[in-house]
Amino acid sequence: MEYLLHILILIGIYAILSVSLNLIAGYTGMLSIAHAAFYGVGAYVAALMALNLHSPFLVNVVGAVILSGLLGAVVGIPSLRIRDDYFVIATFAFQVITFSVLNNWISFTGGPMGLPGIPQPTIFGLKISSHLGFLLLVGIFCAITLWIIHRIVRSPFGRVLKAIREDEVFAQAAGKNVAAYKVLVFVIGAGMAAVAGVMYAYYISFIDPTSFTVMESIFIISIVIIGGAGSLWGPVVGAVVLVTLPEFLRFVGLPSSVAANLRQIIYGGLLVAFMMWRPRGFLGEYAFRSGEVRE
Amino acid sequence: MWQLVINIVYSACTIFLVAISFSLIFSTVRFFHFAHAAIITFAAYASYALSAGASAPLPISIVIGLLASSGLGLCLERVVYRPMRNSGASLLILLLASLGLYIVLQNTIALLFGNDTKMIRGPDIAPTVSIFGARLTDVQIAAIATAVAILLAKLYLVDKSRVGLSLRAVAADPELANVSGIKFDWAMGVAFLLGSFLAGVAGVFRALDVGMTPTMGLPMLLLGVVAVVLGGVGKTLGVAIASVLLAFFQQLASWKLGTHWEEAAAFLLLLAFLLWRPQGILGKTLRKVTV
Amino acid sequence: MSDGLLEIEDLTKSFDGVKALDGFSCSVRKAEILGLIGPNGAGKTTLFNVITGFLASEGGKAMFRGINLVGQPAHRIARIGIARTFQDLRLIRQLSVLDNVMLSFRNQPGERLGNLFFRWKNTREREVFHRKQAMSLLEETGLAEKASDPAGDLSYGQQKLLSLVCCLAAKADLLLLDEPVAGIAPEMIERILSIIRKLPTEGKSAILIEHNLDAVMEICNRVIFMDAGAKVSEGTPEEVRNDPKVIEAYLD
Repeated sequence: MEYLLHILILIGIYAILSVSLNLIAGYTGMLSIAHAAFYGVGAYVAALMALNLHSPFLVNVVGAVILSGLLGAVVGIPSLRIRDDYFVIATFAFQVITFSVLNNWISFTGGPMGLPGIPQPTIFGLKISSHLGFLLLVGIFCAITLWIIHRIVRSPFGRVLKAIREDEVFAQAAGKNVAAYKVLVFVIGAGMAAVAGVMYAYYISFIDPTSFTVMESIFIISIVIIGGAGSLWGPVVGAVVLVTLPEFLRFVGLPSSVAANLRQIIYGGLLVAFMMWRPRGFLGEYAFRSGEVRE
Repeated sequence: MWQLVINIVYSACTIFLVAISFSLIFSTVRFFHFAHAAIITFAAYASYALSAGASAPLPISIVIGLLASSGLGLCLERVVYRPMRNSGASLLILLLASLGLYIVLQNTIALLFGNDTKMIRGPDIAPTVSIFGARLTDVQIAAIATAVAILLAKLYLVDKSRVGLSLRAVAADPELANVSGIKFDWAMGVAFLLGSFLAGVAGVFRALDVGMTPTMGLPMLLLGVVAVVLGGVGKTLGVAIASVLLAFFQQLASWKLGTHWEEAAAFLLLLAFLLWRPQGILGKTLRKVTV
Repeated sequence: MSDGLLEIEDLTKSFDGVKALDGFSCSVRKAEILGLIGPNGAGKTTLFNVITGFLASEGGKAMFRGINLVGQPAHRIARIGIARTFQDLRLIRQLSVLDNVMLSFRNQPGERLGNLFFRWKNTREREVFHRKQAMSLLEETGLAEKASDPAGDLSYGQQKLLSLVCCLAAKADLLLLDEPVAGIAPEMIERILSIIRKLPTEGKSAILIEHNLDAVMEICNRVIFMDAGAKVSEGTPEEVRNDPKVIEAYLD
């Protein structure tokens, strides 16, 4: 039972991550491999606040969202000058730098040793300690995230995002401030990823940099793409599939070292297969065409 | 002082080997072939498997390892990328597929060989040579010599030869190159074959120098990519200059801040370049959305 | 010429040393249709791109309602009352015809993030209002039955019509139309021209780039012939048609 709840909690966390990345990559067309960086920043900010300031849970959520959102703006800015594969490389660079800071700024982040002993969260006097409690908490934040994204993409705002994804020049000629939209979308997406990070930090009660690597970023973008970029529920489906599928390996009784590699091989293979035969994923509306280049 | 210079030269050469191998492929196919990182690693492990597993002599193992990595590169192009290209996949779709391929290959290697560091030859033999008081191992000297030889060969043989010209023609304008009779797929194949071979060279030198791990390819490739972006895509000399610059910058960062900041420093430099001079040191203006 | 809506002075733009605009000046009055003709590469589209902020002029100015457009970002220029179409038909092909028109309305509260969460009632009302307006525009122009089709599924002529409808939705005072009737069927040409013809009666002005000289001569109040980035001849359609310099250029 605990095990099942654990899987559901992980699905919830990855759903928040992939739904928020979908806003950036799927709806606005900015393919980013920096999402684990925002996830990590969220987790570290909350953990550091909880450990050093002993501030309450919800305050830490707000702190994590704000700082991660600011970083989101920083990553969003290159998207105004460079696009497509060069932008992917820029987000890659940001991801590597963030990991490097988490791993090497030992006096502040604990470096490779990580931050142990993150206390259990208390909300309105309620201490959350059971798996069920965490599932409820993650479920609530997941629902809020989905509701906000739903609100955004089904609105005139979301219409502008899709226009930017398909043709920035048209959007500009229609009077839309493309630069502001892009940066704003990054801020929102990064802020939401930070929420997932906070959930993770409190749930596991120990964080270290290895949870927020380039590989993790690629995993999150894989969820978005396999589930379906540019659709509301696609990334949720992707999170369910990609989190549960490798769990079956456990029942075969493979040693954990083998299972870890096999898990990665499975999702890497799925990513290749989907790109070859179904680049839209399960439910996607958008298949990462390159931005139009005209002479 | 000399030791510092020698360190920079050696590190520049290792960066350049990866960069030129990546640039060869990237300037032709125009998408970020991340699985290249796995090709680098694959060559090292293939050589290791032959020499340690099948106890073949080291030079023969290395040659076969390099040919195997070439073959793997060509295989990826033929089996995965080409069908995707033919069905009209965008550059970003190809990039994502290559990320998937990288993950599959890297984890397969880890599954077969384990995650610990493997040495391709015994720890006992590491003869050092002294040049002006700076110490270098034989492997490091061989790597520097190879990198310089490849730079010269690339500048004076490949870039001026018919193969080099046709690769560049394809890179500049695939449709035009097709019209003038140069086979597009053939050029792609050659680029992958040569590029993967050179990637293998970089991987084997790394393995000989400090040993190999299944994940060593990605950081190596990313540094190479930084050098390519800094130097300008398809600019052999630019990439060489960028490799030296990057090596210098990394040494500076590791001297001032500590070795563990090397990587972050390299990527900060990359971000700065992408923002202020995305076309690289010698490159011309990057393509961008125009009206 | 103080009643000029747009006063262009001395705009200059060069590409790799070739001058696409060479000290170009002209003015557009309120409620007039100005035709812009000239050989390919004369700088007509470049002029549009400079006016709308997609290219930066190297000198000169373009005054529109007291604002110098040179140096302004494209989206701001679009908001102060200038709408344009593109020669190579830019539409959001994956979105519906209706959505393309909806995108073209300026100043929608629903396009600001805060309004989605705090003033959503007003936002929704405005959205409903815009939807009605968009539908009536589509009805007037005969595209209503295609409203929910993706814009990319329309015929070439219908797409040209749709980009014009998008300009109407922008409620701009000045429309820059880049070859609105090139390469389409005669009855569609007539439909599009009839819309353009009506613009001055609503107090709107337009600059029209077009190679179809019959169309230009018929609907334009004034015509400018440009070549090599500069104005060669200007006047009524009749005057320009009979200008020896124009005749010579077209004979070449």
